[in-house]
Amino acid sequence: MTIGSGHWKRRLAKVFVVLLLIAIPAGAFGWYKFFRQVAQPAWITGSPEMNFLYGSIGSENQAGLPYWIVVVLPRIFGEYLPGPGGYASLGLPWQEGQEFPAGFSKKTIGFDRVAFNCALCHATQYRTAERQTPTIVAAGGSHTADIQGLLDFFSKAANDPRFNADTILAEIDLATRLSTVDRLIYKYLLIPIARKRLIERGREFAWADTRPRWGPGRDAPMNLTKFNLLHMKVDDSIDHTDFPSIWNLNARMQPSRSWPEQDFSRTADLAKLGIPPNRLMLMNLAGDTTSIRSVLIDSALGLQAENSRFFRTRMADIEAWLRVVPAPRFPVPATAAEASLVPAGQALFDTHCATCHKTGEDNRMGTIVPLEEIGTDPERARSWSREAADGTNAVVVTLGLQRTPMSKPDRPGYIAVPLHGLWLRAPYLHNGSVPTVADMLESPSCRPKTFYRGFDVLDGDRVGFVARRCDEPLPVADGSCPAPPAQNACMPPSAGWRYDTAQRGNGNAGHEYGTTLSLEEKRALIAFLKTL
Amino acid sequence: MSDQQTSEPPRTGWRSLRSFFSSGRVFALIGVMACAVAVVTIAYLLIRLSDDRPVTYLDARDHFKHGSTGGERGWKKQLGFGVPYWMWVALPELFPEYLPDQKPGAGYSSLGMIYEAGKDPRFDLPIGMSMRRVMGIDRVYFTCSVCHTGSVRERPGAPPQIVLGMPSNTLDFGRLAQFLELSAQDWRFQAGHIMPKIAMLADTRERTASTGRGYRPARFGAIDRAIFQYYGVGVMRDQLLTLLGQLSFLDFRSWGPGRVDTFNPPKSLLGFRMEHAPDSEKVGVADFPSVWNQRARKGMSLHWDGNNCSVDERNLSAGFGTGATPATVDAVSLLRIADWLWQDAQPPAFPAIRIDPDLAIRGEPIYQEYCQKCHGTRSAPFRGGADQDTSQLGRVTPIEEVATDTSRLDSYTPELARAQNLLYAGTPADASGEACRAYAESICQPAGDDAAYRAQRATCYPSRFSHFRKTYGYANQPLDGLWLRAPYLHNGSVPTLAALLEPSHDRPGVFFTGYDVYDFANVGFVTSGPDAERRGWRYDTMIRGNGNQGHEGPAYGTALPPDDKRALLEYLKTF
Repeated sequence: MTIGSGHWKRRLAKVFVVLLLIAIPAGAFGWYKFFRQVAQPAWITGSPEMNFLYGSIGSENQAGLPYWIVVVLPRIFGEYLPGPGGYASLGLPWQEGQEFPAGFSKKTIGFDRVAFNCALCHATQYRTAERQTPTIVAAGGSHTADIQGLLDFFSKAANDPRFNADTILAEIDLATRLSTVDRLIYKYLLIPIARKRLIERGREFAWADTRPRWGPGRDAPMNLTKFNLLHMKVDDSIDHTDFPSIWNLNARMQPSRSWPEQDFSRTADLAKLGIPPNRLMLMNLAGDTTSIRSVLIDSALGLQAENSRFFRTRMADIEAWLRVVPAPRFPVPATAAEASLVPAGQALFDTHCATCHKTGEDNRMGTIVPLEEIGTDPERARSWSREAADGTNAVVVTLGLQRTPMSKPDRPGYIAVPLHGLWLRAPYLHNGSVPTVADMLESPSCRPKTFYRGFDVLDGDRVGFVARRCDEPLPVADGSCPAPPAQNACMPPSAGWRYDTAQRGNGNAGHEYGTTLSLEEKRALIAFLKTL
Repeated sequence: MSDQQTSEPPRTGWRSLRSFFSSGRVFALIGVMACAVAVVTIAYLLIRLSDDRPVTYLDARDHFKHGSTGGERGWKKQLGFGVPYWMWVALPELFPEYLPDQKPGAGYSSLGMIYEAGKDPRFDLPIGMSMRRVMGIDRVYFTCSVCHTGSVRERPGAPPQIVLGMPSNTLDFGRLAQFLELSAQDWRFQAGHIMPKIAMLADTRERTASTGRGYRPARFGAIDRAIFQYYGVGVMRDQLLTLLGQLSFLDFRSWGPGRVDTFNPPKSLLGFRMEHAPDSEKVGVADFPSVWNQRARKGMSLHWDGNNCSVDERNLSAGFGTGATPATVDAVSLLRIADWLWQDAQPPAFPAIRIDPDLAIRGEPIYQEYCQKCHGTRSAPFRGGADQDTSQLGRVTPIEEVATDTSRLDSYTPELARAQNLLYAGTPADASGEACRAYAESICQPAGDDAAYRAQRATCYPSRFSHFRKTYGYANQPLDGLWLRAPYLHNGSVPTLAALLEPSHDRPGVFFTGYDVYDFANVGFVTSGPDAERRGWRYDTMIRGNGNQGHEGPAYGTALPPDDKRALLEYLKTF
């Protein structure tokens, strides 16, 4: 090589200039079509509630599906949805007039992408009568969203031979006019890549098929972390958990509780902290996490959010909002008779429930009630391990995120939680195994063995959602249980998902508090609990 | 060997030929010829493929009758809905046995499509068909007027008066779908049978006198014939059978003249697997509505159940029925129709000679007492002043109250509302901008400043649907042109206004629709008697979706004394 000669230099320079002339527009084009970030519109980012329902948490880059694929997929693969009705058939809370259900966030990163946010599982809905438009409540625990159904839908569609550029573009051609360049991008990049990613994602979720279905309003939070984030060896644990409401988080902070907020260690050995366990304020239903921020960050990572300044700001903003957003009040004003029962009910609450469920006191709230004591289904508490907690902490550290670590309480059990908005949190217990508050106040043998969940009409008498199908017989009274106060309301036979308490992880035993109260006392207690 | 001598002279020729070849000129010649062929082919293809011209009309009324909404054309992988003109005219000739009267030579008139006086039903298009030349082929498909134009006759044998904007009272859309399905299923639906018939028809047309100066598609050329022979007929058959197969959960025979199941076909086309749908939502037959005075209707609950308050969205949504998808819609042409319907399209008056003015005047206070709150005043804008209570006009009356047949209401599901709000996704192009915010927010407001509305619409139309909602009742509508909107109620279950003022057990249980002779005394079409029975369709109110109950009781005027009813009926004639 005669690098030194001026002749070669000139030639190299020319080549360089030509390459530059090609590279700059190509680079600009590539940036514009694949990386250019456009902020979401003001109607989303302008209000914390809208931002919670539709705002990005920064997962579009990794997990975002191309917009037009999301739009047309249900039109092509309707048979992989639970019923006729597109995404709405999955029970996702969906405000009228909105493009997508709550929890779908749309953002332009080069091309329009759709990913999921917290509201996918933490927005709920209710109706006070069947002929009514549902009210959507952000930060409530969804009891209707069939998340496993949603994941199955994407995976089954991607594995179907019709998931190809021909079929999908033909459907897109009914819905819009893509430019030639965008068509080519969809044809050669977005459709094949989306297919590959969805098939991979489906394979990662294959373990879920070997267990009972989650059903509406539940997921498998610990196993998702273990098997999908940490790629741990698949075990046979079942941790089906109801989506919790996450409003009014400040109320969880009982007096004189603490967690060293600046403890960003990789391991969380509760014993080493030097704080007695009953001085901690534990989160997650089995007390596996120790601060609000940690739960938020870990959950967002489950949605494949990426660590960035945007992400950290969003987490801080969402936390600030969730700390103060109040739980909604029961939508129907109490009758005079009901209202007159409330003081008596409050007294009963103070006697029987306050030790664990009263806020603003230094009681057992936020601490673990051991399994032997609470007696509820043990599967969820047993599904988590120190190994998994340490693994999660390690992953989060590698992502460069700082948050207090996850842990594993030594004595498995469930934490006592505050009861704000209790009326909207049915079905009850960590696995959603008891349909109404009235049923909670019965001994386990008298609670419904099977019922239907996912129907959003409130049962104001028993406090919970209507859980009986109209074509099912009313429960028959037998000697051992009090005459079952029949649930008068019922749902059409096409609605609801059958919940069987005999399945593993679905047990409805335990939490036998207030079950021996008299009928009158129970009525008073329920009247009070309805006001929370 | 022996011909060596004789082969001498050619050798020179052979040499020159060889030199010609070796010089390369032959390749140049072949190259030039190939280039010329390529240029001509490309030019032909370019002209042909870019061909997209609707037949246009100067007069707004003609545009309403035949103006294209874009549904004939396709986009990329979608071939579009348009039926080639020659196929359209050939089908009734080829398969007359599938027509109600089984007679060829009358086009689609036996299905209730309206051919204007002087038109030849064999070759001219009925009202409600539009034409567009797409990729060199003239294609036809439905336009708005197919369902929104009716025909009225004073007495049997009288010439029909064709009324634009009136709900079609004769078109049996279900029967038309059946005709197309049966034809497409017939083994003779193939090029070998269809192409000779088309050639014959083209010959016949040339021999008959031209019926007007309008656009007439040319004969098929050689290339067109080849396309149809080997491709077009098969594709059309596939498309018809696929589309109608998707709708096989519907009973087309249950619609009858003047009715359509509005919201079940879109479910299927949006991918809903209707075989798993509860039976309660599978029947949603509804009477066609009138489309006059749209300006006054802006912001009211539109559609029978009031599931949308935006006239613009409702128009685009109805446009799907004319084949116009977001990719193919001809927004300019559709808006021209919408603008004519805005204020210009008006119902004709009830023949004044047949109204008793004194009696009508006596009916006015009765109307004000019983009807006006929900149905508004006599003429646009229908909303009354301070002394006239029209507070419920354009709102939805709960089903428990109005108590009419629930099928149509139940056929519209919350899931469909959600899915429809993803239609026209991606529009307007400038979705993130604030420019269209004002438009979206004002779209359901009562009409005010038309100029401002049109200016907004110019940039923001079409935009993604965002106003479809599930309701739990039926909407209270203005009563303009009421006399032409028979039969009454959303499912057309009450033949006359006189019957509507009776309690449901006194309303006719069986009657015949689709006969266009008018009954001026009872206000409605003639639905009984030998002629009506021969020409009409047997409407049985006992069949699901056809219930004639509801809109009755003291509040609805069915308990009024007979004199008051007569006066009210007389007043209602003046609407």
